[in-house]
This record gives sequence, structure tokens and C-alpha cells, in this order.
Amino acid sequence: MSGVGGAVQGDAFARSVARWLRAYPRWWRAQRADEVTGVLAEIAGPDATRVGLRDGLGLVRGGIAARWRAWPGVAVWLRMQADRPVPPRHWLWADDVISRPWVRVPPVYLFLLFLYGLSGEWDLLWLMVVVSVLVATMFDLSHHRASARRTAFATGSVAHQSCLVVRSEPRHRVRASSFAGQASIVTGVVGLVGVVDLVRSGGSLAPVVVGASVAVGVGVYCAWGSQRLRPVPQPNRDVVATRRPWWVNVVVWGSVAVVFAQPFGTDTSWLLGIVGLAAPTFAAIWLTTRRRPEVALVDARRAILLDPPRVDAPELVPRPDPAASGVLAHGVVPTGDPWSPAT
Amino acid sequence: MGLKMTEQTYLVLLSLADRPRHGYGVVQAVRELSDDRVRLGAGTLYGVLDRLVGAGYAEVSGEEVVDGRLRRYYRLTPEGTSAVTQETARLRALAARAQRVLGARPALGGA
Repeated sequence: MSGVGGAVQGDAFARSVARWLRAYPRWWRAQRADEVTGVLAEIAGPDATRVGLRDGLGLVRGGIAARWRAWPGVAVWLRMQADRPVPPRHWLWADDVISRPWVRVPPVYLFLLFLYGLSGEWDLLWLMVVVSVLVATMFDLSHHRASARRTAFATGSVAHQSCLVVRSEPRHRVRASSFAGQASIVTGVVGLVGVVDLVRSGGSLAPVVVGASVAVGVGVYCAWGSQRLRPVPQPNRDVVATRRPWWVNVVVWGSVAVVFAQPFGTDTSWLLGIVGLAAPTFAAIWLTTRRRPEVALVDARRAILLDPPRVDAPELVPRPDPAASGVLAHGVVPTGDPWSPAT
Repeated sequence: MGLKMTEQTYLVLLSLADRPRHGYGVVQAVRELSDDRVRLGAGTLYGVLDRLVGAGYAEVSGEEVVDGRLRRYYRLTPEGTSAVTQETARLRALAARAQRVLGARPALGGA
């Protein structure tokens, strides 16, 4: 086999390992992925291009066990949800949770789901589930994440005791053109599904025309607002594109809208139509920022709301202390519990 | 810190008793020690290593890159050496008692 072929084969195997290793927490993967890939490659032999099912399932089981061992208990989880500092020995767990796209969705939406469950309005319950997923996958929750980081990792003075340090890293902000472009297509598709469903079920189109006119008016205002945007230097920021390609969101949310529109009649069609009203606003933001890759979504939002631009503070991120040697077990180098009752 | 001493945990401890080993080295040593009966997968191996490191029985002793692959070596701590010694003594005592029980058993076919 040629060297290039071997490299390609090695890459394929590493990708296969990486897929299975997603069962493990992020901090565990950051620390062990290279090592485990080497062990799996030696177990599988030189010709293997993917992890076998038995080894893969073993990794899934190990990943779930690692997450279970790192779980700090309900008390710490509640502390984090209540914006309280997290004990340093659980920082990596907290960082993993805060980095998830659906951070802050559970408490709010579980409460709303509970209310709707009590009210017995099952179509609204279903809507809440869909909106929860929509919020988790599409909308920019980075401000929630930054806020959670500031409070969770505020106890930096005892960081060295747990062999973790809190570092200041550039804050990731979603690029305005990237997000608004996707959002305009997705909300447009969802709104279109609603309107088509409304027409099929014989509903009146007059409110649709009125709503669309208002939405276009709002869009024009947003175009004016984001046009007058004057970004300020942002030394602590990385502007990044959305994670998924636009067509994935269109397929996923278009399908959800079609499935969602079927069983619940015109009420649901109206709700889908209302989602579509956001399309002109997102389209306006995309039009005015598509040649300005340095503009983040938050800048456009602040400009539209006539708020002055704000310089981002750096992001607080716990990382293993380079001065400490060894492997973090359960997220902490075993040098004793720094969060003992005495501290 | 307490640690549940399963057969796999004991074999991994035993494999690290004579010298530091990397992950695949542990897999091979366990296979030899168990007479080819225990074949550790990567998921099981790193679950055991996580628990041993967490309990303070093992620690990282070094790293090297071989053929582009990272090898991280683990070694026993004094606590780990003590634990594997105690477990071996317990198993030896158990085997001795088992031998006595089996020796006291009437021979098959005997009158």
C-alpha cells in the first residue's frame, strides 16, 4: 500500500473513532482522543478503516459511564442553573454543559411544558417541543453561555488547587450574514408551509397579506438599522459562521413544519405563518451585512434596537493547568478535593 | 479512596505492577495474564484506567509518539502497589482455602 493510501486509511479510521468517541464528555475527548485512537488502531490492525461494532459499543458504554462518573449531583446542577459559582472540581463538567447549544433551554422549557401539560392543550405542548428544538439549534445563545461562564468560573482564586486554570479566550460570536441568511430561508420555508396549508384548508388570506406587509415594513426598518451599523474594534472576539449548512436547516425545519401542519388544522397554520413573518427581517440583515464578515449578529441586533455597540469581554474557559502533569480523572487531577467543607 | 476490585481492575493493576505500560501494552499484558481469557476493549480499558487514576492507584508516567500515534504510559502509585499486593494475598488465601475444601472432598468412586 502506498503512503498516501495509508494516510487516507488512517484518516478514515480516525474519523470513525471520533464519531464513536462523541459518547464521551468534551473534556475527556480533548485529553484522551489521540491516545484512544492509537490503542484502537493497534487493536484493530493496520488494514482497518473503521472501528468494529463491538469496540464501538464498548466506547459508547464507556462514554456513558464517564459522563455518569463526572455528574456532580443535583445540588451542583441546581447551583449552575441558578447562576451560582460551580466548585472547581466540577468546572470541566460545567464547561461541557455550558458549551451545549441548548444551554438554558431545560429549566425554562421544562417549566412551560409543565404548564401546558397541566392545561391539557396538547397541540401547544407539541409546539413547545418544536420551539425548544428550534431555539436550541438555530438561535444564538452565546450571551447566555458567556453569562453562565462568568458566574460558574468566578472562583478563580482556588483554581490551582484542582489543577485547572481559568483562561481568557476570544469569545465566539455568530456572523450576522451567516445566521441571517440561514434564518431567512428557514423561516421563509416554514411560513410558506403555513400559508399553503391555510389555503388548502380554506382559511382567509387577508390577514396573511396584512401580516406580510407589516413584516416587509419591519424588514425595511431593520435594513436601515443594520446599514447604519459602525462596528468597533473587538480584540476579544472571533466571528464564526453557523455550524450547519443552510440546506440542512431547511430540510429539517421544512419537514418539521410539514409534519406539524398536518394534524392540528388552521391554528397551527397560523402559527407557522407567524414564524414566516420573521423572514423579511432576517433577509434585510443578510442583505446589509453579506459583504461585512466582521459583523456579528449581536452587532446587527444592537444597531436595529438603537443600542450603542459594545466591546466583548473575553470568554472564561477552564483548562488543565499546563504546570500540572497527569491525566484528569473525572475532570480533576487526583490531588485531593479542593472543595472540601473546610474551604 | 475505595475502589471496587473487579477481575478486570485487578488484571490492569497487575499488568502495571512490573513496569509502566501504554494502553495497548496493558491490553496485551492482561490477555497474557488471563491466559487469553480476558480481552479488554478500549472502552473498558479506559473506564478502568479512569477509575484507577481517580482512586490514586495509577498515574501517567510519560508519553511518546510512535508511528504518528500518541502512547501515554501509566504506572502504579505506592497506593496501587499496596492494593494489588493485598488483593493478591487475598486471592492466595482464597485459593488455599479452596484447595483445603477440595482436598477434604471424598474421592469419586471411592467406597
